[in-house]
Amino acid sequence: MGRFHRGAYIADGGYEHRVTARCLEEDLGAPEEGELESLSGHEIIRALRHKHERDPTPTDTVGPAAGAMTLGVLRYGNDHRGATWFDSRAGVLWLCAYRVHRSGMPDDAFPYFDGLRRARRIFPTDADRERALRDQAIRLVESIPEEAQRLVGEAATRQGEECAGMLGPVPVCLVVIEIEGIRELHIAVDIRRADPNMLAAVLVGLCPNPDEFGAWRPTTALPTRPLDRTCEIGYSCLLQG
Amino acid sequence: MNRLTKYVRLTSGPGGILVTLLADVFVESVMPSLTPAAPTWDVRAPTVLPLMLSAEERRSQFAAWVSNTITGPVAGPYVLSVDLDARDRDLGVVELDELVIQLGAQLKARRFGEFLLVVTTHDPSMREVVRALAASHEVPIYLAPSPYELDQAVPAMDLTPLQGSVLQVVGQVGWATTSVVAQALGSHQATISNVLANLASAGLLLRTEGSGRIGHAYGHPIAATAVATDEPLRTTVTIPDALNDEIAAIARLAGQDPGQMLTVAWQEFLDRHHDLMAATYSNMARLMKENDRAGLIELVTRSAAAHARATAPSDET
Repeated sequence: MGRFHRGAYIADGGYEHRVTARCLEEDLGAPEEGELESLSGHEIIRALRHKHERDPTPTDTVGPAAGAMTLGVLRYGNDHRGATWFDSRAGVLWLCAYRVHRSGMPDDAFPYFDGLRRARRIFPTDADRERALRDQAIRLVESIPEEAQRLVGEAATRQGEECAGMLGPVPVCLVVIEIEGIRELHIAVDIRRADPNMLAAVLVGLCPNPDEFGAWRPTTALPTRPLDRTCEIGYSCLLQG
Repeated sequence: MNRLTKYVRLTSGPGGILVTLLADVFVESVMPSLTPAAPTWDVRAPTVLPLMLSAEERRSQFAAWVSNTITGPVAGPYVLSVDLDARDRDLGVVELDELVIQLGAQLKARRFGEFLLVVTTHDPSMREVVRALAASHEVPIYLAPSPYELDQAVPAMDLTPLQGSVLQVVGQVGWATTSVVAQALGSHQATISNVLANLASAGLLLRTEGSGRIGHAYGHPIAATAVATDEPLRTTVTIPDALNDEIAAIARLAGQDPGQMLTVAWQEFLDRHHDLMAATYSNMARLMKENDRAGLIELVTRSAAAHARATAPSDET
């Protein structure tokens, strides 16, 4: 199972569940900056975790499918309905709206969702996405140096093998090789969820003697395989000690 | 309490009437110990010479005009705007070339102490001509649309990405110390100190000596007019827009299906901004050694707002 972190739930599928500030405040009656864990007992949050732990794809859509802007229906029992949207760039499955379902009644969930969409209030705002990015950065900083050094230690123990892990929202692969007593750390960083500031933090976390950016050498392959040219960049540095 | 004194003086010059706006400004800044007083600010019209003059005569008269116009050395830092729009006849390329050469000779001789020159015109094509001439003669001038839009002043010389970022930060605050710029860019102070010193040596920044624990302060042309609107100099600086734009452009590619475009964009970014990445890395390493988590978070999230705006979903459907 995943874990809660600040305004997010980190699902096993490697993406996050989040709730838009508008939905938190207007639909769930919760403070917009609160911890999501405080709502973990709510039916629609439980549904989000149970139905989308490993796959953000909805089984049904709110209105017609609209490509990347398709809203999914989230159901819990007969009474609870949510509208979800997966932001593939940020790796966030958003709960955009929630309403109790009363079929045929004017305050039914689906007319409500449609009204929000027409009013252009249903998708996450810039402030929502900025809050998500800040939370991801905090997760990254919290993961260094401890998690970063754990990964380096594991790779050093299993020399020549690939060790995959996550530093906050950023997937990384590490390989340590040793030649004539000199150990070299090779890394591949998945840049789909990173920006250059995050990359700098990842490198600082992984390099045990992080005084010089120049200690890192750009690479085009891990010792075990070529880099995935669509989403990975590579570096290597000498391991001290 | 801010105090603002302005007066207009009419004088005659070789091309007719020159309008000179002098602004002597005293400001109690929000950072009084770090921010020097605003530089003296002059706006001058360029001279216009009869077209039938020979090249030698033109050169001689331009030299005399420049010598008379720049009456320095003046006490304290000084910003001069030569407003090409102040003439009722456009200067031709030959005249502009002479103007730039003569101004450049004076600037390079550094006869006037701490001195910045801004050539202004609303005509973008004329700005481009002056920019090309200044770049060709390596003359350290700024270009702006008008003397009252010095916030848009850009150097005519080619700069490295880091120099451009540093200038943009100084331009946001008017006067800045090394530590202010280093903090804004998340860079190592030693790196920024060198860049600032080089820009000042090149004639693109004013410099006032620090004393004791107060470091040198570096000034942008905007420092001359920052108080003309009676607003205090800003102390909040942000990451340069251009850099944010590039990070945002990378963010827009993520999550799409761009083939190798994402990694190519990253590689280009890392190549272009190697110095900045190195400085960011050093700063982060220092913060990590000091266990300053708050500082690290601030650095890592400094592009978050631009990133969020760039990846806004479009719900037009």
